[in-house]
Amino acid sequence: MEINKISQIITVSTGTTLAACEAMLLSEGFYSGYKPVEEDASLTYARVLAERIPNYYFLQHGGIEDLCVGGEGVTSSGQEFTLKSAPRSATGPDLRRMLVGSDGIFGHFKNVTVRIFPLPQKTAWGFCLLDHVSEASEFLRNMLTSFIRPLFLCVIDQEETETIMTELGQKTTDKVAVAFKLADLSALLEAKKEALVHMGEELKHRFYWPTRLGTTEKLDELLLKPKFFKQTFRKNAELFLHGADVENLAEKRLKRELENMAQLKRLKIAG
Amino acid sequence: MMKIDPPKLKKTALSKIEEIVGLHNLSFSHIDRLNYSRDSNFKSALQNHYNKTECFPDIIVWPQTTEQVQKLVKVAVRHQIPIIPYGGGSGVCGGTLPIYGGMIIDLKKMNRILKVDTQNMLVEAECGILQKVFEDELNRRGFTLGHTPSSILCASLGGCLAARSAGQQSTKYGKIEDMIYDFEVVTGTGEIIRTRNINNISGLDLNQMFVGSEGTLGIITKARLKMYPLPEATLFEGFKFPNMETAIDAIRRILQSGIKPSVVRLYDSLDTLILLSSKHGDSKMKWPGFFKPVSDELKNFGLRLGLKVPSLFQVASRVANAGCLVVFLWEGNKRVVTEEQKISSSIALGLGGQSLGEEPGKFWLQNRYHVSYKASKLFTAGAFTDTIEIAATWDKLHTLYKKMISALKGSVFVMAHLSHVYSDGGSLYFTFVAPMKGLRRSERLYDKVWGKALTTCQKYGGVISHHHGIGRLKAKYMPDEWGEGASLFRALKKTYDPLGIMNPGKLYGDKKDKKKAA
Repeated sequence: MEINKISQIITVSTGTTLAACEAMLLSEGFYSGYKPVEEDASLTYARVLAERIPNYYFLQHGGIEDLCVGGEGVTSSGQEFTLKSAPRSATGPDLRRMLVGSDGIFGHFKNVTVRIFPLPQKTAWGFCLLDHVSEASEFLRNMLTSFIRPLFLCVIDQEETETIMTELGQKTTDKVAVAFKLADLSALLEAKKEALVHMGEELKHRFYWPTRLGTTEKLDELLLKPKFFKQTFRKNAELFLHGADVENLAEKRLKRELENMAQLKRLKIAG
Repeated sequence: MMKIDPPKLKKTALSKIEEIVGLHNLSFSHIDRLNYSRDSNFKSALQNHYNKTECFPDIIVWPQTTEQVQKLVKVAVRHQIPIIPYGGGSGVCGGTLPIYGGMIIDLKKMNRILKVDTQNMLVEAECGILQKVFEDELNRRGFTLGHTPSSILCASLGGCLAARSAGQQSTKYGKIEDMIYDFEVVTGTGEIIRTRNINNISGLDLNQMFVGSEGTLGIITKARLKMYPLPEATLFEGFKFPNMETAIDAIRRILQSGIKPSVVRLYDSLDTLILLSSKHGDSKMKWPGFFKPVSDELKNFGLRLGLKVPSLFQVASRVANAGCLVVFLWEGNKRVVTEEQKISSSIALGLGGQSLGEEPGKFWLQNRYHVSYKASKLFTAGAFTDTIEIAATWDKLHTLYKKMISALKGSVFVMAHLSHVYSDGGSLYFTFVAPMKGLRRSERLYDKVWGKALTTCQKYGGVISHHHGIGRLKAKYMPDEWGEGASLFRALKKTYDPLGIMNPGKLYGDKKDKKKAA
């Protein structure tokens, strides 16, 4: 595995498991932006690419096809090739896309280069409470076309909404809720929350912001699996209600960045 | 006097074509064949200037439906007629030159907006529509595609899709390949395919096979694209940086913090000098007064001295210490963009940038489409110009900038800007100007400059096009660009254009094409 921190890309052998790659990235203050809908600790990049397994974090980071920016591969007839890593290009059809999702018919990647992202400074869950599922569409349309792209989002039915809100000590008669997780710089995240509330004022959308959260992985599990959600929510209600301070790798990394910037500025002045 | 040979079309083919589109929708007149013998590639303009045209189409047709396009392709298959899909003719890489003659299929009569779907925020249009007409109509209804290329006045939707076009706001809205939802395409076998949007679901993405294929696999006839509401707020701020390296670093950090400004443009010191000295008398950016005449000299096309020793301009810009201008535009929800501007500004200032306020951004917005008209003025003043756009990841961009400027500055007057930036890299855009020295010498110089530029780009890890495409101009560099990966393209070609009639000699030329290539 080779991280390019400047360009925020990583090159991995496609035999590498996602879990191994993610662990390495986390230790460096990054994450892959990819959480496959299929939960399997042995899942490798080779399978993800061949099958184009969807990404829960699609709204913010795109699918695996968007994350893949280049790599080395072998065609089905055995010819080895390299597809250059570039943010975008206009050099014909996107040949990377012929290998992503084609189940190896045209060939496969041996090594792949994918985008990575710095750990977010802050993450926060939000609930938009609504009377009807059609309002959920309207909320989603407004949110996404305003370029407020949550890391994760799901629409929850009345039964589940009631369960969640009761656990949170809230009474509700709402029939549907959109639960979403924002991940961003703190100031931007707050601005996006404000923007959503403002957009929803006219439509009488009701928002509930449980808390800001530092440890989020378990909560992801909850919302990614609605069945699991109801059973285990109680255990995690405390975390929902009170949250945790954002004293994690992301913050440390940001501090380092600021120190580097200050140092760079001093050097420039000295130079 | 220019001699135009009669069209080489069999009577049976001609009568079939006439039957399909009608007599009023085809032409093989000399004047039409001459007009369609070129596009906006500089080399064909140069040849026209010297009364030379190397190739002509045999016939031009203007179909009005996808079914007519399908029938035309079937006639072409039967009679082995090369097909050249045509939109606005705004391509700068010779992508529509009829180098083997054949039939130009011009989609300009397929120019309707078919459906504005406000529920799903999608708009469907026929591919002959001009981008400006398309965008204006959407704006009138309160929406935008977010696709605003400099060529918007003359580029068609089909052309944008064929060449993987980028608008000036690509950092926020993406390139055309990011905007596409699905489309209808007539392949080189005469089959009509309706692609599916399969973002983030399993399967092979046909959208991305045809987008960028430059008409070598099929003709995209209608497409559905994502659209957005017009932004609630637009904010501007310009910065002056001491050099390209620091400015690139600042832009990278802004993008990687998760902020996507609508527009980011970084001009190198020479580009900055010319841009601001001519228009920003009251700008906060100041430079020694004696450089004003240099700018005026350029503005008035007194280029001869400078063009004899092009590297003088680079030296002059260094001495002037004009710095490097960065223009930012943020647009969208007012609360969000206000915060985005604040954060971007603090990063820029933290890395040595000096704020210039709103003025550079507003000036840029007012003049955003004017650049296309400057080439002809230079041309009549005895000089020619062209642009080279490449892309690379952040770690390579500054080296590429230095190496490419260094490779070209001895031969031509060259400057560059960085635009179209993403979290992992961006596109450098070089503009060069050279004196016209007769057809043969000018062509030789032109080829030499392109050769130096693209081989340097490839040597230092860039891709040879970000949004102009390949066409005929860069086809001979594609074997090095794709390497053995070209066999993937051959597999597509075998499926969708087994007879090789679709825009032959473009994108990826075989050996025979390479000899004819620029």
